[in-house]
Amino acid sequence: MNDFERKLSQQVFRQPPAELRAALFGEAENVIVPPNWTWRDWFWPSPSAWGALAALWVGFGAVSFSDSPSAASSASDLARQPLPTTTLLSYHTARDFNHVLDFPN
Amino acid sequence: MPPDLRQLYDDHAPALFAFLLNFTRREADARDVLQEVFLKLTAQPGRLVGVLEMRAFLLRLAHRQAIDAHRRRRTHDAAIERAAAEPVILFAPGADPDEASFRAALTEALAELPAEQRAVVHLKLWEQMTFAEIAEALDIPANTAASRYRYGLDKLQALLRPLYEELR
Repeated sequence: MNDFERKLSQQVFRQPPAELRAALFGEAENVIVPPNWTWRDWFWPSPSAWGALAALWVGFGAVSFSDSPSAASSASDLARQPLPTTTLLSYHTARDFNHVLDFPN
Repeated sequence: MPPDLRQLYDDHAPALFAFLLNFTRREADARDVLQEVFLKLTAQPGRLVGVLEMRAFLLRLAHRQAIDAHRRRRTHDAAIERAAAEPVILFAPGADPDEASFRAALTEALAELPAEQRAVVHLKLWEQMTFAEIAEALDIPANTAASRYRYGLDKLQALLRPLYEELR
């Protein structure tokens, strides 16, 4: 650093205005520090709307479940019903036997 | 654990304000940016955790914030240069009339420098930072910092030499 640089560096700058500190920390107290992440963040921008939609889905699900037959009863009903192919096969088998034994159909 | 912001302000705000005043050449801008820097730190105190060179960190933040503020206002560097022509009081008042006239001349001479040269000159002369530190603070290569300083100082010397020689 030469003499000229030293001369420049000795010049003292103004201080920040005193009221700036008070204003700054007055305002800083009103700064809202963002909270930690919450589930509500996922539902931005309308948590109520998303909540209502979720409640509707639950409602529809409940109604749909109560109207439908139980799984066990459905299975036993189905088991009792003859399959269409089985009926058709039985008819053809009987006709063939009748034909062989020469019974009238 | 982030440091106490009031203590941080007392320790560094004068240096930041001086830098911002010299860089932006407008007191209102210097105040606004200083305020923004500290409000940002209030909202995000975690940014200060682990910072080793606090002054350099804050100067870097202030420089970026000053540039962002001008970009937001679509004024950019041209406006900083225009503002440089406006009268501003950079230095503390002194009793010695010779010193006062030198400070007035220095204020005008600094206005003749481009903003980025002024930033480098300020950090070198008034913060005694090395070119490597200036480079990091301003996001420029160290060679660029050194050349900006050299050009800036040469210009200041050319503008102030008559008065400087007279006052010696």
